[in-house]
Amino acid sequence: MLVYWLVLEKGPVGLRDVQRLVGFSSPSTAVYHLERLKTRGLVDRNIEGKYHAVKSKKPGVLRFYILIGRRLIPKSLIYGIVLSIIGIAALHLAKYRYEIALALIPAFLAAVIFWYETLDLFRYKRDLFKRRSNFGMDNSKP
Amino acid sequence: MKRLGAVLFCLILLASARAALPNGPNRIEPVSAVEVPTFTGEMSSGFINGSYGLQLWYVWLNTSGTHVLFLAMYSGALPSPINYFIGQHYFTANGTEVFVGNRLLGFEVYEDLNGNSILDADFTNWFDRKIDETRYFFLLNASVTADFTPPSRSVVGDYTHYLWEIRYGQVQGNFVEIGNFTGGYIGNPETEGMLPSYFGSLVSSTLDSLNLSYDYWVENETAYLKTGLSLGTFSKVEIPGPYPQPTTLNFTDDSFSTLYTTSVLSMKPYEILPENATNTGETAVPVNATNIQVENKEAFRLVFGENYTLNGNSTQYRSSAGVYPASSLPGDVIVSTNYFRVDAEDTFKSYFGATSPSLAENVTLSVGRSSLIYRVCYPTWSNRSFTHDPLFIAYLGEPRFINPGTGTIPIPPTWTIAIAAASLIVLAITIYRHRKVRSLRDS
Repeated sequence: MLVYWLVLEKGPVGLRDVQRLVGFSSPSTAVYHLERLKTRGLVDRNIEGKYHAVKSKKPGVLRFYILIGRRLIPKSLIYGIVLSIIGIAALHLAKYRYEIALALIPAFLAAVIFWYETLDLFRYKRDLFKRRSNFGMDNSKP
Repeated sequence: MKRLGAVLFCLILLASARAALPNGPNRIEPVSAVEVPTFTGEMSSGFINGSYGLQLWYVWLNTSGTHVLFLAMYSGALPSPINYFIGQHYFTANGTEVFVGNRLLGFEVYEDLNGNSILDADFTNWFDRKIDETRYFFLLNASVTADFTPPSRSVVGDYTHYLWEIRYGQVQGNFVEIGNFTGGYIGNPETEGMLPSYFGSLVSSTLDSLNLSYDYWVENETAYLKTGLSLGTFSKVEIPGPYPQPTTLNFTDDSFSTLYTTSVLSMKPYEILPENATNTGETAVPVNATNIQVENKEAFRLVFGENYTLNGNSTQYRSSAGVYPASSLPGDVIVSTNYFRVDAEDTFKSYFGATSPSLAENVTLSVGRSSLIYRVCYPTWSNRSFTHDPLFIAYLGEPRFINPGTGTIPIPPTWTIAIAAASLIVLAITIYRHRKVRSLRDS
């Protein structure tokens, strides 16, 4: 997952890049992971021998992220923002149209769920990259 | 699933925007009338079948815990009679449910003989009327055209205003000379007794236009109702005279007055308190405003004395007002406006039956049982068109929604249902999606 994540965010990467960024102890480990991703159709190799992501395919939890520029952002962030705007509008409308404000309460709850999910997915990303540092620590071992 | 979610987002956005838009001043045609109107949602309007083949056009508002019910008589087959009533239903600051409504009885032409600006009249003594400023009572008969603009919503500043309007054109009517007791009696439809008649000779006339416009809004705990009255000029005021020509009635230097009654319904004691009343020793009491107190707490205020304009010019003239005893009315007025009372009372009973059965029992638009009789007077007139917009203020308590009663749940408007449904579906999809995210993340 971490290897694929890096390929997605960093664009076409070579073996050495992956080894260095993830902290693998040897290029063969990097080859092993990249080839597994290639077999699953998630990455492809160009003529320069660099690996790039096949963008239409996102495995597992990655399907809940969207690539904006060079960063993977949880889609729930966008949904949360849109629904929060509706929620704020509902609070404003409550002064004039209480029944519409009441009708929008479920959408407001959905916004809360999306914000929670956004935090959760950012935490998940942070944890994943913490593991990368662990690889690095392993790498520093004699 | 993702596409459905996106569609629902758009639906919520569109529906919210549509629901917040005003309905627009659409002219409507009375294509169908109902037996019992719909008192649900934020606002509604339509036609109700009345008696004598007549109909009532109603406007109903439901906002900030207050209701407004407006009724105007209408005929689809014949020129439309002119009679209307507007009432406000709400809870006061001390939690008392009240209903305050005002009804126009008619127009009068008077001569301000004592210079106090208001019309002075007293019909107590049938044979010796000491105070007699009334020259003519205008019997509003029927209008050739009647255009109804249903209520629309408009946000001004921080507040939502509800606006609606009726425009009558070519109003046919009769100026009735108010003279001495004729010696005749007419049946009182309100009490089944007899009333002395003062109506003298009739002079037919046409009022070129009569526009009634309303603006209702609630600011915090105060509800405002601005009632715009725009009156054209009277023409063809001809006394059918002998050969060779009929004579034309002359209103030079005459004043004009509008006559209203107020009905108050409350389960608690209330009091009518004229403000800054000048005791002139006459039966009429000139006032600047009149307050209605329920259990010693101010509940309603009729603001008088505001300016009006003539002939569309910007020059302002001061209107005046007075409160009157029932004896200031010729009995003929009560009889001539009774046909509206019956239909309007039925509608109000139907309304209160669904909201406040306790008030329904006391509904009456009877002139004899009205809580207040008042006239808004326009001392400078001389048969010129004028525009005036008096204000009614209702003092509300904590916002609370009037009990729908009788077990019926008000059905919200279609847009609100659509928004609620879309909103619930979005929540369901969100929860389903969230569970999936968690399971994938944990695996």
